[in-house]
Order: sequence, then C-alpha cells, then structure tokens
Amino acid sequence: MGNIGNVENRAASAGKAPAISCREVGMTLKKKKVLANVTFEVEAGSLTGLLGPNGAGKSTLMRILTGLVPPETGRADLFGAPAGPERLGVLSFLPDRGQLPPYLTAGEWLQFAASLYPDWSKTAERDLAEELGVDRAQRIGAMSRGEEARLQLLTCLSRQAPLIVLDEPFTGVDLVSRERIASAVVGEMADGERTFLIATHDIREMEQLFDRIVLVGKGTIQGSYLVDDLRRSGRSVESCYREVFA
Amino acid sequence: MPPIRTWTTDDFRLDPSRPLYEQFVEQMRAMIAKGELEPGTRLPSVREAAASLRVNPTTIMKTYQELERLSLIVTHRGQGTFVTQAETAIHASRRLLARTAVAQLQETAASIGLTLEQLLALAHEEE
Amino acid sequence: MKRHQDALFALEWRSYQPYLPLDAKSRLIWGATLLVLLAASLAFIGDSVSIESVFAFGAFLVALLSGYISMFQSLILWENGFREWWLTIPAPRRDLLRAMALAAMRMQAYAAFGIWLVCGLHGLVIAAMGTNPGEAITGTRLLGDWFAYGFLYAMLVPLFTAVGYLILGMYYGWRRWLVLPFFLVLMLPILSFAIVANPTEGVQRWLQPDAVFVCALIGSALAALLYRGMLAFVTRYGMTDLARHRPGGHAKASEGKRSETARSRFRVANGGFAAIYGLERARFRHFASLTLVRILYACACVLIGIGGYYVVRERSGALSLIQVMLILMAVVPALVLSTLTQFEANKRRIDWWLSLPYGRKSLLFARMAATWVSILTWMGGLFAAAAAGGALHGGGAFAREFEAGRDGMLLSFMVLTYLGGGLVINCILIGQSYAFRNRLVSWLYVPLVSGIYFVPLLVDKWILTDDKLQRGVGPTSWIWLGIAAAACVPLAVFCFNLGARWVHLYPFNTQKAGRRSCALRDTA
Repeated sequence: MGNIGNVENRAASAGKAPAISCREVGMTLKKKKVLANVTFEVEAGSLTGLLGPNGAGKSTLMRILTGLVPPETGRADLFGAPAGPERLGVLSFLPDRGQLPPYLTAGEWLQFAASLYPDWSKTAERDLAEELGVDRAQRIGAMSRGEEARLQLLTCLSRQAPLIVLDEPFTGVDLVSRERIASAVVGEMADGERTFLIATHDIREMEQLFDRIVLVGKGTIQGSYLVDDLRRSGRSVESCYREVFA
Repeated sequence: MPPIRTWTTDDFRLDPSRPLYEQFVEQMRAMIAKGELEPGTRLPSVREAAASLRVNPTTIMKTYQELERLSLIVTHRGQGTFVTQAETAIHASRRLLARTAVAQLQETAASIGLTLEQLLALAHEEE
Repeated sequence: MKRHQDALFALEWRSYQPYLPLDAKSRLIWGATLLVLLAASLAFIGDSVSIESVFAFGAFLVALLSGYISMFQSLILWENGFREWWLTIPAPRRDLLRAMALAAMRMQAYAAFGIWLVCGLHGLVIAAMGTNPGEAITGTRLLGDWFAYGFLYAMLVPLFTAVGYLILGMYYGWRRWLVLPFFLVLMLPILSFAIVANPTEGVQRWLQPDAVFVCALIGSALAALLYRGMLAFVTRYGMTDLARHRPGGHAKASEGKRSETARSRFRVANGGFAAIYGLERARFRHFASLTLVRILYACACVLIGIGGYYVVRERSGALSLIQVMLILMAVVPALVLSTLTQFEANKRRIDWWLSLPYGRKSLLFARMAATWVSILTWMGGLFAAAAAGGALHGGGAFAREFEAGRDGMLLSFMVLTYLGGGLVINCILIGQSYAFRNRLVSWLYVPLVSGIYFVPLLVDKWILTDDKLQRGVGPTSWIWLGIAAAACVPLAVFCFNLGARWVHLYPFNTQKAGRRSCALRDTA
C-alpha cells in the first residue's frame, strides 16, 4: 500500500512553490479597509485552517485568492503565478452561502459539472456521492442546507484541481453531514498532492485536521502556526485562538 | 485471512494540547500490549484511518512510522500494514507498559513517603 | 393594537426611502429626470396630440408603474431572504400585507405626482406657445385638466397597486388560472396607448375634464372595493402559500415525479463553451417547462393569433404588430440578463458561476447567447401564431399589397435595426458593472439605464417613420444603418469587455442605494 511512502511525497511537494503565497495584500471596499498588509504562505500538500472572528475579512481574502476579485495592493500567487480568473483551473472553490441552480436536480447538476470542469473525475464523483450520501433525484431547490452543502462539496472534491478552497463548508450543516464532509476532505488529501485551505468557525471539530492555522483578525494576519508546534508547546488550536482574539 | 481492524473516533481519547501522533502511538502500543490488537491484524491505510478518525493524514503517517520504528507494526509492500507477529517486539512493549505503570506507582508511593513495597502492603492491609 | 401597524408600515416604507427625493442628491436626480421627461414629451409629442391625450398617456404610465411594480414585488417576495422573518412577525397577516400595500401606494404617489407635474407643465408650455392647432387653450380648460387628471392619477395608484398584489394569491392551486384575466387587466393600459392619441371627437370627448372626473369618481369606488378584496383574497390564499413555499422552486410538484427526475432532462455537451451554454439554457428550459408558464404562453399565442387575424386587414396594422413584437424582442433579453446578475437571490449563485474555470467573456457570452436564443425561440412561436392568425384571414390587405421588393426590404431593415439595436443595448447594459468602480461612469449609467427603453420610441420617430413604413426603405436608410452599426458595434464590444472584466463587483454592491451600510457579504 505504501502508506509511508507518502511522507516523501509530502516532503517533495514542500520543496515546490507554495500553493498560496500572499504578500502585503490590501483591499478597500466602500472606503472601509477590509484587508491590509496580509502576508502568509500555505505549503503545497497541507491542510490549512483560516480562522478568525466574524467580519475579519476571511471571505474577501478567499475571493482574492480565487481571483474573483483582484487585490488593490500587494500580490497573491497560486503555485508561483498570480491568482486571477485565468487560473480558475488550478483551484476548486466552495463559496460561503453560495447556491447551485435550484431548478436542476442533483444528478442534472453533476452531469453539467462533469462537462463544465475539465478536471472532473467520474470515479471520484461516484465514490464521493456514496460517501457523502447525495441523492441524485432530488431537486436542488428542495434540498435542506446540509444536503446542498454536501452536494456543493461533492462538486468541489470531484475535481482534480491541486488547490481546494472551502469557505465555511459547515454553516448550517447537521452533525452527521459535518462528519461526512470532514471525512471526505481528509480522504481526498491523503495522497499529499492536494492542498486545502478551509475557513471555518468549527474549531473544535476541525482542529485535528489542520497542519497549519492562519489567524485573521481586523483585516490582517494575526499569526500563522504549525499545529504540531503549538501542541508541542502544550497549546491547542482552541487555546491559541483564544489567546489571540479574546 | 488476518483480521482487519477499522478505527472509530471512540477508540482513542485525544488531548488537543499534546501532539496527536504521540497519543496515537501510546494508545496503540497499549492496545498491542493488552492484546486488543492481535498479532497479524491488518491496519487500515493512512487514507482510511485518517478519514474514519477525522485527523490529518500526516498524523497517521507519523504514528505508523513511529510504531514501525518500534517494530510493533510492519508494512508489506503491496499488501498493507500489519501488527507484528514477532513475540520479542510484543514482549518488549509489554515490558515497557509494565515499567511505565510501575514508575507511576513509585511516584505515587513517594508522594506519600513510602517505598513501592510499603505502598503495596498498605493497600493489602485489612481494615 | 395600532402600534404594530405603524411599525410595520415604517419598516416597509423604509425600503423605498433611497428612491425618494428626500435628500439633496436624490432631489437632484428626481428634478433632472422630470426635466428630461418634460423635454422629451415636448420634443417627441409636442402639439401632435391634444394636451388631454398627454394627460391620458400619463394616466396609463401611472397605472403601469403601480400595477407592474407591485406585481414585480409580489413575484420576488417568494425568494426574498427576509420572507420567513416577515411572516413570523407576531401580527395578523392582513396587517403585514396592508403595511406593504400602503407603503407601495405612498411610493407610487410620489411617482404619480411627478408624472402629473410633467403632464401639467407640458400643457402649460403648449398653451403658452399658442401653437395648438385648434382654438387657443384657455386657463379654465387647463385648470380643469389639472384637477380632473390629478384626481384620476390619485385613484389609479391604489387601484393598480391592488391589482398588482393580487398575483400573490395566484401562485398555487386552482388560482393559477386567474393569472390569465390578471394579465389581461394589466395589459389594458398598454393596449389603450394607441387609442387615446386618436384626435377624433368620439375619443377626445372622453378625455375632457368632466368625463375624466366622473370616471375617476367611479374608479375610486372600485379602487376602495378592490383594495379590500385584494387584502381578503391575498390574506386567505397568498399568505398561506407564501408561508408554505420553499425557495428554489415548486418542490412539492417536483417530488411527485421523482422517478422521472432521476433521469436528466437535458442533454449535456462534452465540455467547452457548449457546456456553459447548456447550463445557461437549462435555466430557461426549466422555466419554459413550468405548467403556469406553459398556460400563459399558450394563451399569449392564442391572443396574438387572434390579433394577427384582425390586424392583417390593414397593411399598417400588420406592420405595427410586427414592430411591437420586434421591440419586445429587442428589450426583453437585456432586462432578463440584468435580473440574472442583480437580484439578491441570483447573487448567491454568482460565486459558483464565476468560479467555473472559463474566461469571464465566455461565461458572459454563454449567458447572453442562451438568453437571446431562448427569447428568440419564444418570440418565434408568437410570430408563428400571429402569422397563422393572419393566414386564417387569407392574408388580408397585408398579403394583397405585399410587394417583395419594397416590403421584403422594409421587413429585413426592421429586423436588423431592432435585433442589432437590442444587442447593442444589451452589451452597453452589461458594461454597467464597471459603474460600481467609477463614480463618473455610474452617473453616466443613471440616465442610460432608464433612457435605453425609449430607444424603440426614437426608432419609431426618426428611423421607421410612417412615410417609410408606407413606401419602403431606400438606400439612404441602409447607409445610415451601416454608419450606426460601424459606430455602435465597437462601443458594444468595448462595453461587453468592460462588463466581463468587472462582473464580480455585483455581489459586493447588493443595493445600489446602499441600503446596507457596507454591502460586504463578509461574515468571516
């Protein structure tokens, strides 16, 4: 099975350009400084948590990374080249409170998605649909929040894009769906070839997943830690979060 | 066919302010010593274990690496990861478990000003 | 007892405030708009019709605004995120509805007053210039018009606002069939536009102040009755449906056909532009498959078929029908496209759309192409229905007088002008997203967005004049069309590219008037 060989993969990918690199990114919207001087890196192959209180600028930061919005100052690079609409192929994005076309059934949407995303994997779709429990016959408009969240995640993970950016994948999602989503995320990153950036408020449930946490507050980076380093110094992700924001 | 072990989140008690792989190593070593994990049991792959325990795959990798270094598990290329069948390794882990327990007991005894033997005698004393 | 009613009204009223002339900036916009309207009416209408006809135009405009805005509000209420909060306010549902209707009427009263002012000033200017073809306009006549039409406008606002809200009760069940008469009533003002311009004694008699006053008197009784009826009807049915409704479609109806929906209703292309186009087309194909829409479309076909049967009796009538349909064809796609990006509910979907790994231009072009193809298909059906109606009549005078050279040229000129114009308008409106970025551009777009729907009027006035409709278009017209195309096509392309570049700004600017202080959807 070569379970352990993956460590070398991981080490090798760490030598490459970082999956995400932000340097002094700033953004002003309607005269309000939303982001200022944001600098951080996410190693390729890692699972990084983007944590911070409401209104800290996380969603805006993610929109910049996905190229939906260009940064006003500074630069954001994905795998060594600037982020932008033309780089959408390297990343798979789950928007916060986004919605899929309500008039389609899950199956119809997946069929469209399979042809819309050049990097779609039918195998991954089939396995994940099973794992996440997605009912293809159901109309998206009639789904509960948890059901639609699982379908959205299925869409994100069925792609083979090397970077996956999830903005609040758990809001309004029931416990069992959350666990299914978390398990699916872990399963997908196990080969060490994909990088995850996840913004979430569910620290307790997610902290075992993170390699690194990046703390965002008041529109800038308040800290970036390797979770193992934190634990070696006797701190948990939660206690670190409290120290920084409380 | 060797038995296959799958994990659930209830199999381990984790303290989020200590490195997770250390805790997995400790608890799995104890399971092997107690025979809860029988020799020759096949362990889930890193991907399966990480997904079912909902921890970072690196954590499981480090755990397996450490257990392999302790000769408690072996990886056969193309077949998977198994709990060792070597008696010496299992015996060594039982010894280590015993030593740790005794060391703890000694500490308790010292804290009330007794030797280990005195502590045991005190515990067996009739009312 | 009374307090919650006041609070409900204040809440509803608050939502209109950004659009009202309550601060210096919006007073300026209102003043400018009214002046532009006055100038436009003087320039385009002038003394070609009686001043009463102008007042009557105004009356139809008031009716249209009141009816369509309340209808529009009823239609978007189903997907409104606030809906469930609103319905769970501990107040009788009738009071919720009442507050909403009263606020809408108060808003429409402002608009009606503005229109009344423009029409009144128009009459005053015409009287002062003394260019009226008949006898000079006396002060008594002017005052009588002002008073009688003021009364009429005041009564039209509640009447048509109430009509518009009626549709809230027609969303589900047997009441869906009421949509047909409902649309007929709302179409009345549009259909009557042509009648009131008629200068004959028979028509003008009814436009005199005394007749109008009597009509308004009867109308106000009707309005009072209808308002109460609407409150009762909608409270009984509409609010119940609204409370039961699940956003995102008729969930109940679709669950019955589960086994059927397991199969895809769409053929999906294998990647590339065809796939994004297919996704966009799916929206319209789903919409067209709804029972209610099918019923409405079938009725529209029958109606227009009947229309076709009658209008072919005269050549000009048939040409007018073709012209009206072409105008709709030119304007509707732009409207649909702007709702797709600017609606609250659709903004939620914009992130997924923009994150598809395709260029912005391809995404936008696919959306635009799907909209146009859908609307052209639907309009094609209507054209066919009209033609079938005309054919039943044996083609009438239209067929008898048809000359391939003259009319063939004329028709292709019309199609090219309206379709080309529609595409240009569409592209220009797409560029509006840049307005969020640039203050100057946003000011440029204020008159552009409202004025763009008058373009067909301009075409009617200057390009497709009665003379041309009668004798056909000559080479000069074609040359002018070529020149216009040479000027407009680069502009359209430029605007399209601009729009594609900045389309991501929509989610950040949820309400143009800035109802939310900082429109960031950032809860992170």
